[in-house]
Amino acid sequence: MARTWDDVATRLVAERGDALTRYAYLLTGNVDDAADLVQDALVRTFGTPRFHLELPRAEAYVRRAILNAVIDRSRRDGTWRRVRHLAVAPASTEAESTGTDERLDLMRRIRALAPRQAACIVLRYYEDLTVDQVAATLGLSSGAVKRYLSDALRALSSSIRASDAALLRQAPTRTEGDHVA
Amino acid sequence: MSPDPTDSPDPAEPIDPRVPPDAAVPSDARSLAEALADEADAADAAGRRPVDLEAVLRGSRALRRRRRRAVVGVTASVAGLLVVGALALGVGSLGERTATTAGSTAADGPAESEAELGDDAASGQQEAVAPQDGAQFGDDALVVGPDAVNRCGERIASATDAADGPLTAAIVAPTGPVASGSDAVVRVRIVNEGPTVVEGSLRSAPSVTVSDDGTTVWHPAALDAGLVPVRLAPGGQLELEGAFTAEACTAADEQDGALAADLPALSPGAYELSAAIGFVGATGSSPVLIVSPTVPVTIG
Repeated sequence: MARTWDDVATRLVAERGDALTRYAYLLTGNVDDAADLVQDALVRTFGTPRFHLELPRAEAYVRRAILNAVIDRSRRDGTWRRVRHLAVAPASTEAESTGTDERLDLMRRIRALAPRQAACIVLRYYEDLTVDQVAATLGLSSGAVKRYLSDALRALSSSIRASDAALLRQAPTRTEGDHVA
Repeated sequence: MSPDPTDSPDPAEPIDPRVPPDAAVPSDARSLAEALADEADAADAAGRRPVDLEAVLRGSRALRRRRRRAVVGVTASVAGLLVVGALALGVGSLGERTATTAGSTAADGPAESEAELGDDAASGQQEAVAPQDGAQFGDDALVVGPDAVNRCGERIASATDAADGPLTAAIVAPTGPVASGSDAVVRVRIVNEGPTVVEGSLRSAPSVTVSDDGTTVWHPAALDAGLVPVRLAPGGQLELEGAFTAEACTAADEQDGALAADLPALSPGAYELSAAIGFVGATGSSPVLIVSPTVPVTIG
């Protein structure tokens, strides 16, 4: 039996609400921002007349809406994003010594990626979706998803190498107790 | 050349051979997956704010209601532009009838819509309890999508009878042959044949089917098209674009609304085109599927 929008929304929230919130959190790193994003994305998705709005498709729409919101925020915060890695890398390398810190550092690097790259990483490696499934979820081509994933992994790798180099350069200075500008 | 790490769906496979082993870098996809899972778990442990379902339902209903109202002015203008644009391009051959209708649509539509918008704006109503969907758009989710009809190898759906509803659809036939195996675009004209204004939402992309003597030989995959709001005065019309591919399919090529990839090109010859498009009335009327009569097309 076909379902009305409200029924689909109710089921989506009940069955996938937590998963959507985790997805938003992994992209934003803030539980309140994540909750707001999911809430807004659900309203946008179900506030737009669509045909065939069944559960899997509705979930994909919501994930796209979340990503679009993250992209919008990223554009608004563009200046900070462009320089954020300069501030984050030294601080994180100094602070990290445990597995938890490494995880936090990795998450910071993932969130410093372009939003689409980060979304592809989360869907591919957290949700365990195939490339084709990621493409279908985000409304991208499989080729584009492969490119985003490849670029993201390369960026993560470069980011680590850069911070390692910075750590080596900073080591004598830090020993002397000076701060790096 | 390095293998593309994204080709493999196996999460245990190394994510990128270019990434050197490093204590801070996940050496394989499993490490990356574990880091993400740990992060999500940490957020769970810290406490997440659950989704407020009531707020979602209330907000989405209100948004749909606003869209429907906003539609009125915008759509009338767009409809007028579409028709006028079609005339300017010399598309179609309706002659004086089209010209008269276009003038009517472009001139009358906005005036009507402004009045209604003004009325809505003046009322300034902000209901505490959002109305149910049925009263707003009809049960949109119950609409059978155009891609659900005209399956490969089956007889095509019959054209909508103007007596059954105010809206009819007609394809502007291609003027020349379409190359076998290629994509092509046709214009689909929606006309209000009734005596009263028709208001509602149309699917933005009509489904165009290729048939051979009444049997479907190609249809589009399930379209992820949204709805465009429409308001058509009596005799008013608008045109949308629909695409088709000159390929041949059979029932075996049906894959849950989509078609198998790499279909063979359609053999050159004479075929027909027809279009189907969903319409949802704004007054709570039942959703309908508008099907056009066939027009000839030459594949060559």
